Amino acid sequence: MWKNWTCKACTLAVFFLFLATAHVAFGQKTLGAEAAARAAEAGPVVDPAAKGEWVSILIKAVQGLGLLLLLLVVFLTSRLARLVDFDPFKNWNANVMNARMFAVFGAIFAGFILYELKYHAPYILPSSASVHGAEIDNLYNITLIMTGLVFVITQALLFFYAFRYQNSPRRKALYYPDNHKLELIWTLVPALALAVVVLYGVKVWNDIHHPQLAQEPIRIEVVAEQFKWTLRYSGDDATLGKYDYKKITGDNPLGLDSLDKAAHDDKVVYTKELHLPVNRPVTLHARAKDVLHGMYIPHFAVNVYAVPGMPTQFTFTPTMTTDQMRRKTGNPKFNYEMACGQLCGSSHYNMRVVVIIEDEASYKKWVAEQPTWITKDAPATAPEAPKSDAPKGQTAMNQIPVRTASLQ
Amino acid sequence: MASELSPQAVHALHTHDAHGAHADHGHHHHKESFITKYVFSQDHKMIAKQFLITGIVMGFIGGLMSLIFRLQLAYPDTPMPFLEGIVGKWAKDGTLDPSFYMSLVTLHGTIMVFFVLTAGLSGTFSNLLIPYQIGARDMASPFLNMLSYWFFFTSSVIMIVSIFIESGPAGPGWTVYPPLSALPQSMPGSGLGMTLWLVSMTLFIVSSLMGALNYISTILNMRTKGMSMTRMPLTVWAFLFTAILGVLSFPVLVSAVVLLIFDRSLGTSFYLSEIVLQGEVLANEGGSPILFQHLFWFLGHPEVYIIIMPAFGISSEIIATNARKPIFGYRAMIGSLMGISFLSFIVWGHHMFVTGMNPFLGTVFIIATLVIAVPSAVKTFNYLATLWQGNIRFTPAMLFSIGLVSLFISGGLTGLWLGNAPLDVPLHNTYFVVGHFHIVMGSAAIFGMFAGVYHWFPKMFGKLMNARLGYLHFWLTFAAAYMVFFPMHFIGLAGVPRRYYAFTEFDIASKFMDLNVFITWSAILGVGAQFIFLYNFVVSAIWGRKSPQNPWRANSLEWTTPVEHIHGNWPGEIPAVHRWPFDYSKPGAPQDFIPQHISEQDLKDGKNYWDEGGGDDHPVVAAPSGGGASAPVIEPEKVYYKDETSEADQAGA
Repeated sequence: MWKNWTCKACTLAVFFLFLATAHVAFGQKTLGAEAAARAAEAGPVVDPAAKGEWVSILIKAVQGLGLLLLLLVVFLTSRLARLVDFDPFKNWNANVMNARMFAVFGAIFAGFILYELKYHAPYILPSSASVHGAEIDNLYNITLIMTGLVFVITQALLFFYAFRYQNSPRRKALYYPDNHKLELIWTLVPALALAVVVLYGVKVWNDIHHPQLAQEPIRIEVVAEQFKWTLRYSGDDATLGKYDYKKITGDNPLGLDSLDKAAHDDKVVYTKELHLPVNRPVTLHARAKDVLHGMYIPHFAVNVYAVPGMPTQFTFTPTMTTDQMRRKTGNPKFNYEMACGQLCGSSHYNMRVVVIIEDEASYKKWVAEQPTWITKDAPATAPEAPKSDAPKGQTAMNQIPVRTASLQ
Repeated sequence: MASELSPQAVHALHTHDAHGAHADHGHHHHKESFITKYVFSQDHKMIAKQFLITGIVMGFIGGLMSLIFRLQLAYPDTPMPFLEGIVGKWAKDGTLDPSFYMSLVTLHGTIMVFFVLTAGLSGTFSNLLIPYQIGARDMASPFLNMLSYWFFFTSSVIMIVSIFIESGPAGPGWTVYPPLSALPQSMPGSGLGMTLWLVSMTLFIVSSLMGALNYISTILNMRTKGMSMTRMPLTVWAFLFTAILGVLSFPVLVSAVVLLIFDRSLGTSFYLSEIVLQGEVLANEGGSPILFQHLFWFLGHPEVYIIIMPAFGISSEIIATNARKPIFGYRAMIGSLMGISFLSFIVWGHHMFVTGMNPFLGTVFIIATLVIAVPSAVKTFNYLATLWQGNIRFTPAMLFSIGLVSLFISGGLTGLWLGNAPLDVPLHNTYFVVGHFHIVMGSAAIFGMFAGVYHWFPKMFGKLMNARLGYLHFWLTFAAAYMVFFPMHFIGLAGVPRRYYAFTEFDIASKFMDLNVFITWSAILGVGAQFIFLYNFVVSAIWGRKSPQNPWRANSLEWTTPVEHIHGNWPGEIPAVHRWPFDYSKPGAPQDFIPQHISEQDLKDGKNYWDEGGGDDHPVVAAPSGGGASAPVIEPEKVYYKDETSEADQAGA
């Protein structure tokens, strides 16, 4: 019933739409002609903008109508096909088609994976450039082989079974509700395989958190805030001074405690570069001032949240300098990067720090060039005391409030 | 046990209007108004449809949001002026605002996880199938059930409203970690939008708890005669465990949310300590942002099983029905669901390996997490064994179920990587995680939802969906799911963090610009394919071919109810159950299925159950709908099944 009704309605609608389109298209011409005639009469004082607007509206209208027409044509064709009993898929057996599609899809899927492996797998991180990262890489390889094998076997079986056991009138499904032996096998085998990765995983996890270090690690503080990082290196005393978040001001962005002498020679680094020596254990102390951040350095498998109110840390030993990595990857512009690993706000995507791994000498040179907390903001008028002579406490005096300085 | 009571007594006890046995065949004593029938309905079938339609609407909103931020990721440097027409001031001159990008990501996650895959999937099918499949006239508390839907509806409305407020919707990610979510100054999406998010989620949890309590009590108390626990279809088992998980874990999220509201509004410091925000030293002290993560993931991890387990149940049922085989290892399937449910409560810490949590805890969580892989592996192998030597009919529902198994394998295996703490260190919060959970939880669960819709559409609307559009929908969606999410693993392995507004700032990221374009266009294809489904759904619901009573020749009890919905489900007595639901292709049976209500005596008597109510119009593969007069009807007796046991049949007769 509704079928005939819709058909008539649609035919009428198409007819009217056609008329309307023709009218608009034809009308545009006449409008144009009239305008041209008027323009010829009135001379060159025609507002081109107004005319342009008209035309563009007309063009849009025609486009819209055209789109509608196209949809209607598609719709009507399908109706018509149904009415005259034209069905190109009539003789297709949907079940056979879908079964074949599983075979085809399985093949395409395999091809897609191979394509991805060829073109995008090379983009993944090179083997980790840190001591514990190498262990993670081992675990990575074991897991990759294991899961890869299971993936290929089970997916292949799935697609194959779907194709192979498609419905056939000649066959009846096998009534096979249970087989305890089989189930026991595929409970125990995965359990054993998992036991291997679990045990190895736990070992690596412990190694990450309790590394065997030949030397005392260099301690560097990495402070995150929206949306930048500030680094703090210790001075010659190899100790990071105390801080208190309540002391944070514009002049003292890390809230260092001026009463703690160890803080006086700390070096607060604002540049977007984190310099580290190669083959030397480093402990990065992460701290967040405002919200959660993540200290994520993918090439060394370093990742720990920076949490307001809860200091965290990650100890690792870089094993390749930036230059070595540049040679290894064949990319002269290669740089290690530190990113923010936990959503921290609108510019979360833009907290890049370049990590530069260099030999110990260059590292020491670079650190020495960094101004200490004290001298950095020293007033220009302060006397330039020879560094070797000036006792640390005294230099500190330059820094602490004017009242103290005046006492000196 | 319900079996000790007669069905009438059960009905009288448990339905809200106890007008005895429905001898009047669907004619009601009291006329229902439009409002009580379609709006504030207490009928589980109508509520199921309400959940489904709301879920679909939310699904399209969430899906289209993902396209906006995918476009941003593919073309970060190209202004797209048409975006301004869609999101207004958030895309001035066609450049998406970074904070609105975060809001889109947040709402996409929230909507998909809670509103589509929890309420839309579990809500729909628990409501529809629990009373039908256990042989009950309705839920234990139809009124609570109605409330459950309307709480869900209200929370959906609030979530949608939050998109339109001036400061923008919530933006701290769907996990809403404080302090970002606790401090309104920290980002635009942490203002009123965040408050509305919290209110909406609280209502959502209320809805979810009401539903879950109802499901549990219905399943435990209202099974029909003969329906012992071990005769329940796997769907019902899955819904039972899902509901238990929900009841035990959602309250924890409520507490987390309430404490967060306190921190936001009342100046408490549950999650805040030592904060200097934009130069201002805040007074909060002594709290811990990590506390929130513990509370959140104590729900959050069971939540992913709340999402996937109904999909497991649905696919188990559909695969067995369409492979014409009993599900392999019924008890092992239940056991693995049980194991997964239990373990899901002790693995939440694997979301927090790198938060600075005590490393010893990490060890515990590695072990518990990887143990979950064992029941998951058992499920996968059982699915494969069910397909083996089957006689598979590829209905759209079956296609989606097989797709689910494929996606579950792919996504589950990457779970072994992320669940192992040392491997998680370089992969945490990268695109690897995005790829992993979108495949295993997102796509697999949504495939379960589609499978359920195609399979039980006749039960919901009395119509058949167009199968050909279903095939097209499946193959496009299946391809798109892999095209979108498979390459993301490589992006993650290259160390690119998730939730990045643009890949332009980092060398590790910028090399993936071409891949991002590919993924975006695949996503457009995938979302576009859903419009085929939408069209099919709407057109079939209105103009579709009328369904026979048991279109898939399935065993479970819902197919013994009439096609037209009636109040109380069965016109006469509730049928008693005599067998488990998986007697497919049983040797000696007259047909390749024996419904649960058929007794051995019925078989001996040669009862013709396969023509019951359906006449000879049994399209096994649903024909195209839409009023096509020439639709090819494939009659199973002619095309697919040679009745090899007809001698037995005749002997019986």
